[in-house]
Amino acid sequence: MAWIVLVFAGFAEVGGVISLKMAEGFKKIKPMFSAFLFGCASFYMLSIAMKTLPVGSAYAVWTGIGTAGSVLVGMAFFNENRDIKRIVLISCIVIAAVGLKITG
Amino acid sequence: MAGLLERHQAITRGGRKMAWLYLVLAGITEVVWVIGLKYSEGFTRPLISILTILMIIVNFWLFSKSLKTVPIGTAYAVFTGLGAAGTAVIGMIFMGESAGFLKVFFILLMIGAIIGLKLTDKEEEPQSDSSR
Repeated sequence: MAWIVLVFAGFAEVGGVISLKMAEGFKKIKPMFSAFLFGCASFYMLSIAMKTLPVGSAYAVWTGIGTAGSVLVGMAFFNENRDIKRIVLISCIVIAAVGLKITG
Repeated sequence: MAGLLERHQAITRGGRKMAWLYLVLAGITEVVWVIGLKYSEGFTRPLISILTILMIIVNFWLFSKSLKTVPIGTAYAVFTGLGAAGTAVIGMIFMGESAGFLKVFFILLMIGAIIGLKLTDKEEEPQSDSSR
Protein backbone atom coordinates (compact mmCIF):
# COMPACT_ATOMS: atom_id res chain seq x y z
CA MET A 1 0.00 0.00 0.00
CA ALA A 2 2.76 2.42 0.98
CA TRP A 3 4.48 1.73 -2.34
CA ILE A 4 1.34 2.61 -4.31
CA VAL A 5 0.98 5.86 -2.35
CA LEU A 6 4.64 6.56 -3.07
CA VAL A 7 4.22 6.04 -6.83
CA PHE A 8 1.28 8.45 -6.82
CA ALA A 9 3.40 10.94 -4.87
CA GLY A 10 5.92 10.73 -7.73
CA PHE A 11 3.18 11.31 -10.31
CA ALA A 12 1.91 14.30 -8.33
CA GLU A 13 5.43 15.68 -8.48
CA VAL A 14 5.37 15.52 -12.28
CA GLY A 15 1.95 17.19 -12.27
CA GLY A 16 3.38 19.95 -10.11
CA VAL A 17 6.32 20.53 -12.45
CA ILE A 18 4.05 20.72 -15.52
CA SER A 19 1.77 23.15 -13.66
CA LEU A 20 4.71 25.33 -12.67
CA LYS A 21 5.88 25.45 -16.27
CA MET A 22 2.43 26.49 -17.42
CA ALA A 23 2.21 29.10 -14.65
CA GLU A 24 4.97 31.02 -16.47
CA GLY A 25 6.52 32.51 -13.36
CA PHE A 26 3.24 32.96 -11.44
CA LYS A 27 1.52 34.87 -14.26
CA LYS A 28 -1.32 32.36 -14.71
CA ILE A 29 -3.62 31.70 -11.78
CA LYS A 30 -5.09 28.29 -12.65
CA PRO A 31 -1.77 26.46 -13.16
CA MET A 32 -0.48 28.09 -9.96
CA PHE A 33 -3.44 26.71 -8.10
CA SER A 34 -2.95 23.22 -9.50
CA ALA A 35 0.79 23.41 -8.78
CA PHE A 36 -0.06 24.15 -5.17
CA LEU A 37 -2.49 21.23 -4.99
CA PHE A 38 -0.06 18.82 -6.67
CA GLY A 39 2.74 19.99 -4.38
CA CYS A 40 0.70 19.46 -1.23
CA ALA A 41 -0.58 16.08 -2.46
CA SER A 42 2.93 14.97 -3.33
CA PHE A 43 4.46 15.90 0.03
CA TYR A 44 1.51 14.49 1.94
CA MET A 45 1.68 11.14 0.14
CA LEU A 46 5.48 11.05 0.48
CA SER A 47 5.19 11.59 4.23
CA ILE A 48 2.62 8.78 4.49
CA ALA A 49 4.84 6.42 2.49
CA MET A 50 7.88 7.31 4.60
CA LYS A 51 6.08 6.23 7.76
CA THR A 52 6.44 2.60 6.76
CA LEU A 53 9.12 2.54 4.02
CA PRO A 54 12.85 3.19 4.56
CA VAL A 55 13.49 6.92 3.97
CA GLY A 56 16.29 6.31 1.45
CA SER A 57 14.24 4.00 -0.77
CA ALA A 58 11.16 6.20 -0.54
CA TYR A 59 13.16 9.26 -1.55
CA ALA A 60 14.84 7.35 -4.40
CA VAL A 61 11.54 6.20 -5.91
CA TRP A 62 9.91 9.59 -5.40
CA THR A 63 12.66 11.68 -7.08
CA GLY A 64 13.23 8.94 -9.64
CA ILE A 65 9.61 9.04 -10.82
CA GLY A 66 9.58 12.85 -10.61
CA THR A 67 12.68 13.18 -12.76
CA ALA A 68 11.97 10.40 -15.28
CA GLY A 69 8.36 11.60 -15.57
CA SER A 70 9.44 15.21 -16.19
CA VAL A 71 11.96 14.13 -18.82
CA LEU A 72 9.41 11.95 -20.65
CA VAL A 73 6.63 14.55 -20.49
CA GLY A 74 9.10 17.19 -21.69
CA MET A 75 10.04 15.07 -24.69
CA ALA A 76 6.47 14.02 -25.50
CA PHE A 77 4.66 17.33 -25.07
CA PHE A 78 7.18 20.18 -24.99
CA ASN A 79 9.46 18.98 -27.79
CA GLU A 80 12.51 18.81 -25.56
CA ASN A 81 15.98 17.55 -26.46
CA ARG A 82 16.33 13.73 -26.76
CA ASP A 83 20.13 13.81 -26.70
CA ILE A 84 21.62 10.77 -24.94
CA LYS A 85 24.17 13.01 -23.15
CA ARG A 86 21.32 14.83 -21.48
CA ILE A 87 19.72 11.58 -20.27
CA VAL A 88 23.05 10.31 -18.89
CA LEU A 89 23.74 13.59 -17.04
CA ILE A 90 20.23 13.68 -15.57
CA SER A 91 20.67 10.06 -14.44
CA CYS A 92 23.93 11.07 -12.74
CA ILE A 93 22.06 13.76 -10.81
CA VAL A 94 19.43 11.25 -9.65
CA ILE A 95 22.16 8.77 -8.60
CA ALA A 96 24.00 11.51 -6.70
CA ALA A 97 20.83 12.82 -4.99
CA VAL A 98 19.79 9.32 -3.90
CA GLY A 99 23.35 8.50 -2.85
CA LEU A 100 23.42 11.59 -0.64
CA LYS A 101 20.13 10.62 1.00
CA ILE A 102 21.33 7.09 1.68
CA THR A 103 24.75 8.11 3.06
CA GLY A 104 23.30 11.12 4.92
CA MET B 1 15.63 40.75 -41.52
CA ALA B 2 18.86 38.99 -40.64
CA GLY B 3 19.61 41.66 -38.07
CA LEU B 4 16.21 41.17 -36.51
CA LEU B 5 16.73 37.42 -36.33
CA GLU B 6 20.12 37.82 -34.68
CA ARG B 7 18.61 40.22 -32.22
CA HIS B 8 15.88 37.72 -31.41
CA GLN B 9 18.43 34.94 -30.93
CA ALA B 10 20.53 37.15 -28.67
CA ILE B 11 17.49 37.85 -26.52
CA THR B 12 16.64 34.14 -26.34
CA ARG B 13 20.21 33.35 -25.35
CA GLY B 14 20.13 36.05 -22.67
CA GLY B 15 16.81 34.65 -21.43
CA ARG B 16 18.32 31.21 -21.19
CA LYS B 17 21.24 32.48 -19.13
CA MET B 18 18.78 34.23 -16.81
CA ALA B 19 16.71 31.06 -16.61
CA TRP B 20 19.74 29.10 -15.39
CA LEU B 21 20.43 31.83 -12.84
CA TYR B 22 16.83 31.52 -11.63
CA LEU B 23 17.25 27.76 -11.44
CA VAL B 24 20.41 27.95 -9.33
CA LEU B 25 18.79 30.55 -7.05
CA ALA B 26 15.79 28.21 -6.72
CA GLY B 27 18.14 25.43 -5.59
CA ILE B 28 19.73 27.75 -3.02
CA THR B 29 16.42 29.06 -1.64
CA GLU B 30 15.26 25.46 -1.35
CA VAL B 31 18.13 24.71 1.03
CA VAL B 32 17.33 27.88 2.98
CA TRP B 33 13.68 26.95 3.53
CA VAL B 34 14.46 23.34 4.43
CA ILE B 35 16.74 24.68 7.18
CA GLY B 36 14.09 27.26 8.12
CA LEU B 37 11.51 24.50 8.40
CA LYS B 38 13.76 22.64 10.80
CA TYR B 39 14.28 25.71 13.00
CA SER B 40 10.60 26.76 12.92
CA GLU B 41 9.98 23.77 15.21
CA GLY B 42 6.70 22.75 13.64
CA PHE B 43 5.73 26.37 12.87
CA THR B 44 5.71 27.28 16.57
CA ARG B 45 8.24 30.10 16.13
CA PRO B 46 6.39 32.91 14.27
CA LEU B 47 9.26 34.91 12.73
CA ILE B 48 11.15 31.90 11.40
CA SER B 49 7.87 30.37 10.19
CA ILE B 50 6.93 33.49 8.20
CA LEU B 51 10.41 33.74 6.67
CA THR B 52 10.29 30.04 5.79
CA ILE B 53 6.92 30.35 4.05
CA LEU B 54 8.13 33.46 2.17
CA MET B 55 11.20 31.52 1.09
CA ILE B 56 9.04 28.63 -0.15
CA ILE B 57 7.01 31.06 -2.29
CA VAL B 58 10.15 32.73 -3.69
CA ASN B 59 11.60 29.27 -4.30
CA PHE B 60 8.68 28.11 -6.44
CA TRP B 61 8.46 31.45 -8.23
CA LEU B 62 12.13 31.18 -9.27
CA PHE B 63 11.63 27.57 -10.34
CA SER B 64 8.57 28.48 -12.38
CA LYS B 65 10.49 31.34 -14.06
CA SER B 66 13.32 29.01 -15.01
CA LEU B 67 10.88 26.46 -16.48
CA LYS B 68 9.91 28.96 -19.18
CA THR B 69 13.17 28.23 -21.02
CA VAL B 70 15.04 25.37 -19.35
CA PRO B 71 13.60 21.95 -20.37
CA ILE B 72 11.43 20.58 -17.54
CA GLY B 73 13.34 17.30 -17.17
CA THR B 74 16.64 19.17 -16.82
CA ALA B 75 15.19 21.84 -14.55
CA TYR B 76 13.55 19.37 -12.19
CA ALA B 77 16.71 17.27 -11.87
CA VAL B 78 18.93 20.31 -11.25
CA PHE B 79 16.42 21.78 -8.79
CA THR B 80 16.15 18.65 -6.62
CA GLY B 81 19.85 17.90 -7.08
CA LEU B 82 20.95 21.32 -5.85
CA GLY B 83 18.58 20.96 -2.92
CA ALA B 84 20.05 17.59 -1.93
CA ALA B 85 23.67 18.64 -2.45
CA GLY B 86 23.17 21.98 -0.69
CA THR B 87 21.54 20.33 2.32
CA ALA B 88 24.42 17.82 2.53
CA VAL B 89 27.05 20.58 2.31
CA ILE B 90 25.34 22.68 5.00
CA GLY B 91 25.05 19.58 7.17
CA MET B 92 28.76 18.87 6.84
CA ILE B 93 29.91 22.46 7.40
CA PHE B 94 27.52 23.69 10.09
CA MET B 95 25.91 20.68 11.70
CA GLY B 96 28.93 18.51 12.20
CA GLU B 97 27.79 15.71 9.91
CA SER B 98 30.56 13.46 8.66
CA ALA B 99 32.18 14.25 5.31
CA GLY B 100 32.71 10.67 4.16
CA PHE B 101 34.34 9.79 0.88
CA LEU B 102 31.05 8.70 -0.71
CA LYS B 103 29.26 11.88 0.30
CA VAL B 104 31.95 14.09 -1.22
CA PHE B 105 31.97 11.87 -4.31
CA PHE B 106 28.20 12.24 -4.78
CA ILE B 107 28.40 16.02 -4.33
CA LEU B 108 31.15 16.27 -6.95
CA LEU B 109 29.20 13.97 -9.30
CA MET B 110 26.17 16.23 -8.83
CA ILE B 111 28.09 19.43 -9.55
CA GLY B 112 29.75 17.86 -12.59
CA ALA B 113 26.43 16.64 -13.98
CA ILE B 114 24.76 20.03 -13.46
CA ILE B 115 27.59 21.87 -15.20
CA GLY B 116 27.45 19.31 -18.00
CA LEU B 117 23.73 19.89 -18.42
CA LYS B 118 24.24 23.64 -18.51
CA LEU B 119 26.89 23.27 -21.21
CA THR B 120 24.81 20.91 -23.36
CA ASP B 121 21.63 22.95 -22.94
CA LYS B 122 21.47 24.61 -26.35
CA GLU B 123 18.43 26.38 -27.67
CA GLU B 124 16.34 24.29 -30.04
CA GLU B 125 16.58 25.71 -33.53
CA PRO B 126 13.05 26.69 -34.54
CA GLN B 127 11.87 25.22 -37.86
CA SER B 128 11.68 28.60 -39.57
CA ASP B 129 15.31 29.37 -38.85
CA SER B 130 16.69 26.41 -40.79
CA SER B 131 14.85 27.43 -43.99
CA ARG B 132 16.51 30.84 -43.97
